[in-house]
Formats: sequence, structure tokens, C-alpha cells
Amino acid sequence: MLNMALLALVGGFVLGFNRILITKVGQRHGIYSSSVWNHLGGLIFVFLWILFFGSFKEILPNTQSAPSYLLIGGVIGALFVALNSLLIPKLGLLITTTLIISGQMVLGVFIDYFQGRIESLPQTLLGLIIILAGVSLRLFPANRKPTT
Amino acid sequence: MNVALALFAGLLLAGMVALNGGLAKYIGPVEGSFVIHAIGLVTAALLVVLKLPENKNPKHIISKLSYFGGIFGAIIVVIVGYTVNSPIGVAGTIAMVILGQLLFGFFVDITGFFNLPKRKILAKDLLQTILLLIGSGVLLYA
Repeated sequence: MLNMALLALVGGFVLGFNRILITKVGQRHGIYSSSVWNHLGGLIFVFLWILFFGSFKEILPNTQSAPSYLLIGGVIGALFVALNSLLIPKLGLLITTTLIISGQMVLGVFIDYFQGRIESLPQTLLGLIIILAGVSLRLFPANRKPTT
Repeated sequence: MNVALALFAGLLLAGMVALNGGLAKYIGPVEGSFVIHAIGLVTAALLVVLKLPENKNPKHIISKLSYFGGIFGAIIVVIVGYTVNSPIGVAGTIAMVILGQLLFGFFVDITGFFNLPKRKILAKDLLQTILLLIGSGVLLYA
């Protein structure tokens, strides 16, 4: 249990490392090219993983059997990486990450709510309020840094 | 503006996670990541071809390692594939990945790791991070 928790923690570091490397590419080549490099690197890694540990045979038929709107996730991913590369040099990694996770948790709760996966509504609302209280700290003018 | 964009990016991410999770149920997590990366690559290439306005600076010297950054973005898919199916489950995985990202964010901003600009961590940054961790904990273990 502890080693799995540590592995997930390292996963968070890995994700941060991914973001700063790709941000660097974005600073030199532009944010959209950074998204190309991000997806190219990822695609090659996953290709090799499946080549050694899996099989490509089922991918196409299984993808065709899935509802096609699920594929929009890939389009969103391309935009998301570009946004990351745009924001990290301006806000810093910590603030960018904190805001992204906040936005993610808020919409995540809505998605869970409409899919009927919320067990305790009061506790969910409490969690949301705490996160939004943190986000609201950004609204005070004195806290605004000259980030241009 | 940047704050609003970052929150919007978080909304995008939540939608993406829900869609990718749905796809993974049909074709498997790593296979799903393969398809998603392929579609993302085509989309990103289109965005480049469209020549949308953006800032670039060819004089900005970067490490060659940076071009391989996408590999780290894909490794997380494999890690999560293991941890969500372990005793820590989905909630534990999300909580630990969030914690890891925030700790890494502190580390990078304080040290200026990898030639990124150093940033002072303000009291409100710390407070916001703590509120996010508590709020996420309350949500995940609801």
C-alpha cells in the first residue's frame, strides 16, 4: 500500500517534469509545436510499451466499437498541452498547477454528479467551497503580481 | 486573464480525463493512451499548420532532453494503471498525484530547476495550496 502511494506520488513528479520540459520546447518553438513534441514523445513511448508488453491487434476494432465522441479527449489534450506551455512561464509551475487542479476538481465534481457518482452531497459541496476559497485568494488585487 | 485560462485548462483536463477514462474501458488504459496520443499529435500538427499567433524565441537555448518531455507524460498513464488497481484505488491515486505535482511545483519555483525563472512562494500561494489539498481530500473521501 505504501509503495503504491509512493509510486503515485512519483507520478505527480513525473507529470510536473513533463510539463516543464514541454514548456521549454514551447518557449523556443512556440506552444503549438510544444504540443506536437509532447504527443510525439508520448506516442513513441506508448508504441514501444504495447510492442513489448501488449498487442496492437485489438486496438482498431475496439476503438471502432467505442462511442466516437470519446476520441475528442485527444483533441482536448492537444489544446491542454499548448495552454500549459503558455501559462507556466507566466504564472510559474506551482500556481499554474494549483489552478489547473482546482478547475479540474470543480468540473470533476459536476461530471460525477451528473453520472450519479456523488455519495455525500454536503461533503462534496464542502470540498468544493474549500477549493474555491483557495482560488478566490487570486482575486484580491494586492495579490496580483506583475506577470504581464 | 492568465488565472482564468489556468482554471479553464483545469476544466479541459477534467473533461479529458472523463473521456479518456471512458475510452480506456473499451480498449484498455495503455491502448487508449496510444489512440489519444495519435489524435492529439494530428490535432497539434494542425494547430501548427494554422500558424496561429504565438510567441517563440529561437534564441532560447534549451536542453535536448526537453524534446523527450512527452515520454514522461505517457509514463504517468502506466503508473496510474498500476496504482488505481492497487489498495490505494482511484481516490488515493488522485490524491497522491496531486500532492506530487504540488510538491514538484514548490521545488521548481523555489530552485528555478531546469533554468525556469525562480519565484518567491507567497503566503497566499501556500495557503491556496493547503486549501486545495484539504478540499481535494474532502472530495475524494466523500
